[in-house]
Amino acid sequence: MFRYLEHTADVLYEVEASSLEELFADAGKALSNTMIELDSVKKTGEYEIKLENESIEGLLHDFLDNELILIQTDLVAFNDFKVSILEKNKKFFLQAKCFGEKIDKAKHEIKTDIKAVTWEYFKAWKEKNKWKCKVLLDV
Amino acid sequence: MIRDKFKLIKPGVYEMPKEAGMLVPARIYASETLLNAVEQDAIQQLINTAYLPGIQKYAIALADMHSGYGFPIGGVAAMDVNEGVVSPGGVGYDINCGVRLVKTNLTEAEIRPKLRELINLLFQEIPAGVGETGKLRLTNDELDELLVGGAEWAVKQGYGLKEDLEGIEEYGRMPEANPGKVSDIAKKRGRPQTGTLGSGNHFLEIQKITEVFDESIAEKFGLKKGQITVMIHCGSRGLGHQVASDYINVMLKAMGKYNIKVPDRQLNCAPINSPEGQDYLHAMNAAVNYAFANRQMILHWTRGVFEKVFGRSAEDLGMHLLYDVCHNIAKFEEHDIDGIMKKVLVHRKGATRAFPAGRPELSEKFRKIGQPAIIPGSMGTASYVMIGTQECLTETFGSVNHGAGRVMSRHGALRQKKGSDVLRELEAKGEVVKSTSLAGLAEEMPEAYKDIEEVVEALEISNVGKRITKHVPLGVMKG
Repeated sequence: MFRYLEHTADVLYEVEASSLEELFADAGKALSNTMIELDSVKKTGEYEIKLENESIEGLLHDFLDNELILIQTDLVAFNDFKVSILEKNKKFFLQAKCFGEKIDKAKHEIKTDIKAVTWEYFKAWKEKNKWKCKVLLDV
Repeated sequence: MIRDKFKLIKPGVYEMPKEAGMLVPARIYASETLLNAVEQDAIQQLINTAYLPGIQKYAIALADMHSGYGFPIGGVAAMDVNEGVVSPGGVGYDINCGVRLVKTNLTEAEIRPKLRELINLLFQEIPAGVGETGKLRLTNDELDELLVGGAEWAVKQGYGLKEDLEGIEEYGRMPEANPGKVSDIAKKRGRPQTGTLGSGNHFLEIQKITEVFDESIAEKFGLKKGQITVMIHCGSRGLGHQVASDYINVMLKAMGKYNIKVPDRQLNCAPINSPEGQDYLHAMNAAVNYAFANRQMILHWTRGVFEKVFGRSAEDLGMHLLYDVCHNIAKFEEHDIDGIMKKVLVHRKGATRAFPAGRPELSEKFRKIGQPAIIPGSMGTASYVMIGTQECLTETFGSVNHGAGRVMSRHGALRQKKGSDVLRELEAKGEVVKSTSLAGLAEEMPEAYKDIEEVVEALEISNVGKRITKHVPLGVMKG
């Protein structure tokens, strides 16, 4: 579940999820939804992101960076993600399937462009049984 | 409250003395009302920038300051070239986001009946909004040439006139640009977006000059009451955004190596003379050139649209470029530091260079007058052409604010009004507005910004800037 928070100039959001995989998927949805309304997108295509990082926070930042790059270079809109994360030798390995379709102005509800996933307020943490993160997008 | 640490030291200038790890005091150039409206986060960001190694005189925020990333938006910080650092956050993600102002010899009576046709045609000719690609299909070599040549490259390709370069900071080309330091991903993001306006707060506006504050300077700039002007606001698109993201990751890793400790990781940086610092500066300059070329192409297509609608040449319509300013950039400049002229790296994050008369960087046209500093307001409100004072040079490293500055969150704006209502209200005021996104229109509604009148007045109170002309929008194309 993602929720947009107040920020004067840009887009700040937080995610609460019951698993790490869900945290990544929902953080991905929130990013996508900032650019194009999720409900207006159909899952006709599938794209893949593979990453590794030494920290969960670094992995999440890289994942969102890569999602943004995919959207902007392949001109695709996403509305769902299937994420798997493995930990091996103190490293985290991510494999994500990103579902969506090519951006079509006639079909999609276009919102605003994103310049970058910033490090301001950026945080991913576990609280009790929940995974949480906070992300600020420069728009 | 952190704001209370700032005391009025002279009209329009608030200062907080050094404390804890701050290397210099922090200063805010604003009115009391504006200062009181600033978020505590933004003030903390300003204080944090005073920790950056090599910072000179004071960490500065201008009247439009608001919360950014690491640096506040509306921030200026000058670094010693030997001891200091370069921080990508002090430039921002949209490298060389900037504004250019184009003159015409048209009047409101001539343009009013053609406004809708102009805005519709501008939309056809200039791609804007999410997922929109440009008309150019550049090869790798061509993109590299653009990154080296900037607006000069664009003019050589037939986009605009040689005279345009006289009216652009650095003549439209930063010399120390190295496309080899720009990642393949940055190029992949930037290539299809070459010659596009973008979205968010980027716009193209047809305006009318409603007030002239200094007849003599306005005349020298070729501006007069009733005249129609065109303002273009955009930056380096995905290419610049990715250069910033790439080098922020590089700097995050480099800080440990150089033993740099800053209070916020978004303030990541590296010594100017380090390989990381130099690589960033060379990549940043390439992105600066991309943005110069982008605005140059958009100017060319704008001229084409006016030529088509009026059936007259751009020359005949008096469509000369007045000036092009960068408001997200780091530049090597000489400034007076405690009575000695010293080379520093000036970071301007949401701040506009406003050099007064006499600076060698200015083209001959402006060296005796001072450069026009273009301050766009929000959509639907006025914009200003200003000029920096001699005090501006000594106080703020020759910088003024870059706009009105946001005051309301995008979500707050969306909650308050629908895009269709904002459109109706602006159109009721006689403006012709077209946007790629109704939600985007609501997010950029005039009420989401500080009062531009108060912001420019604050500049005059603190004696760093002087109003020359006021421009109100008649037609708006929003990405």
